[in-house]
Amino acid sequence: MTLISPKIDHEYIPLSQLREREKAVVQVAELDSSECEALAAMGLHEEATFELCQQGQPCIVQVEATRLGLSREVTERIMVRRCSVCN
Amino acid sequence: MSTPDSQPSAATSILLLGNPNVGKTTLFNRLCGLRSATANFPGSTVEARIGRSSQGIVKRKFTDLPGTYSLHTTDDLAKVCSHALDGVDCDPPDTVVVVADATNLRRNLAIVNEVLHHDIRCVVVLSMADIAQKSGLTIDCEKLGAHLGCSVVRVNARSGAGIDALHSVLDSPYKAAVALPEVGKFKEVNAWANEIIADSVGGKLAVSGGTLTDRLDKVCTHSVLGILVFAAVMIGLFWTIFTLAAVPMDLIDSVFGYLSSMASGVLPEGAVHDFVVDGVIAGIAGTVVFLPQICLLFFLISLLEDTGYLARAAFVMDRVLRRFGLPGQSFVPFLSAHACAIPAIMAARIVPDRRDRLATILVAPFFSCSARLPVYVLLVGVLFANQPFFAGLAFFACYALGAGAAFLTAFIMRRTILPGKSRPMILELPTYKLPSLRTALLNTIDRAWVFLKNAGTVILAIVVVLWWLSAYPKVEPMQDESIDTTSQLSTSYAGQIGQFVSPVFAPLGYDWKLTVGVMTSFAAREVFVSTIAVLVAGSDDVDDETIMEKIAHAKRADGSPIFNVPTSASLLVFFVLAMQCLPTIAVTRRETGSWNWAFLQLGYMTVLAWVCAFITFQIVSGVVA
Repeated sequence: MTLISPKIDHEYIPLSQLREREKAVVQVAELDSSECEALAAMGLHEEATFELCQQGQPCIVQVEATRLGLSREVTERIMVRRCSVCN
Repeated sequence: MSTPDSQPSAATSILLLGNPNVGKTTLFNRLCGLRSATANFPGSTVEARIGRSSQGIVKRKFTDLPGTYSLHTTDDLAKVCSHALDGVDCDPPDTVVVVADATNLRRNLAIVNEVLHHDIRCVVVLSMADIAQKSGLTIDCEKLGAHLGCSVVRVNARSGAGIDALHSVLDSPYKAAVALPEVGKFKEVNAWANEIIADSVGGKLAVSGGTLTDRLDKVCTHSVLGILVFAAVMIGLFWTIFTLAAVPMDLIDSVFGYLSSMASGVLPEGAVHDFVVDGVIAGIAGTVVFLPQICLLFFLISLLEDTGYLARAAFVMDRVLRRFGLPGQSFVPFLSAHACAIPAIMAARIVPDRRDRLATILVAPFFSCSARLPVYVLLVGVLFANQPFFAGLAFFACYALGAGAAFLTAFIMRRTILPGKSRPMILELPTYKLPSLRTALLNTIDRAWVFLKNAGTVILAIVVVLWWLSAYPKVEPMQDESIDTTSQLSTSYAGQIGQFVSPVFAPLGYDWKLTVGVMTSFAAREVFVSTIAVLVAGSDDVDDETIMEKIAHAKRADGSPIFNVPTSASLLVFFVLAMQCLPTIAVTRRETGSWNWAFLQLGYMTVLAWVCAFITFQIVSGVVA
């Protein structure tokens, strides 16, 4: 298997500004500790890579084989970096 | 701790653990079938299912805990699962089976890692292995097991494939010492999982977008289409429940009618006869008659949940419910509340935030349950006899008034006693799939049994007490040896209490007979119909058209009709809003852990019902005059 190094943007943006089908890496989640715990346990922790499937209410992201629905309040407080090639 | 070389003993007390939606309950049902029961985990309101299975001479006890993503988060589920593993407040298990989704191994390995940190023998069951195989994944269970230091078995719980292999490894489960990453260090855990996957899994694990699930989600969670789909699903659900349930409900009614007449024929007239026929049989019938609706509701909810649609519906409802301070997850309890408030309050456990959960529990009984239906039928029938359009409209208004009161109450509570916004939704959206009929059926049987045990026994006890209050003291027989039923009720303890309390309900337009009906219905709403039939018509056979006519034309002491338009409208509003179900109060106390919330619910709903019924009576009296 050949590993391709991901190209990750330096600029942080809220998850709510990501476009559909874009991949990104979680930088930081400015949420309550219980919400951060829940997200992390579901696979959306810091430095996790995901793909945005649907923007809006709910915002749907795919983390590996896990599909998560997030309300807008959550996506506005998760800072991410775009990732052009993520494996 | 045992190793593969030390002849370990067979597993007999086994804990089933795993993430939600990995097929844990399907596996439990396959292993135990009907030999299971639901019980609260000690010291909590979290339910665990306990089942038994025999394989040769080995008898095994399986405990199926609710799905959790981690054992180390601060929520109740994680604490209960962690306590169950360590044997806190319960018998410690000798083995734990972690069910892991083969299509989502990296995330599932995180909880496997957490379990492996505990001093207990472990078996990892790979579920969804058939789907993983179809999508091109190959998993080497032996290599995976060597990395984890325990047995790994591939099981398809739906078909039963791999169950024998699971029993076989449960005959000698083991836990070998392996290097594990520190729990909670996501980087380390990921690196560990990546290393294992690279060595034991072939193919690509990640699922990319552009699938059927994506396209269905575009529709099911769309701001307009999503609501239309939701409305269509709900209309279909309720249409099915009310149409299909009518047949078994009539059958149950007939069976109890037959039992009642049989008992009447066998038992001589007297206290024992009255106790058996009017107390025990009538009490059981009053509860069991609603069972078909409740079973159908749970069966359909279970099917819907299995398809993956309910998680999407929660997001659709979140847009509406959040305006009133409730999270989208509350819609599942509210859905159940249309059958019965008791399972609805129990279903509120899925709401993760405590304040959100309390608000959901406190307003759930406002939704019109099936026990209110006989009362609606009686009063709407009296109000709009031979006017089916207006009768239908009145029915809809009752449901709308209940839902409106629930949302308004939640709105007020979130700004007063339960301040704060509802927790934003973070929910896993499972892949759409065909539901399992077997799982739905077993869940329904389980729920039906819980309902009968929790509600049936309590309602039965209350109805028997009410029967005694309305049957004693006995009046003297008339000259022809017959007993005037109305005199009997008016002089009974219930009648005396009703007459004493009647000034409270007089402003709503109720005389002492209606007051007795309202009072008795505080035990269970459906009691109102038979009480009124006995009080005003001298018979409890409400199926008889002449009885309905007698009720409609019954007169007060001054000769005016009991069920005039303002009184009937006021009664209808009172029954929509009042908390008239003692078992619900008991369940609220259990789920909230405090009598304060239960009494607040009772007091608030009763006062609101009285005030709204009073306003209705005054307005309708003004309009009619």
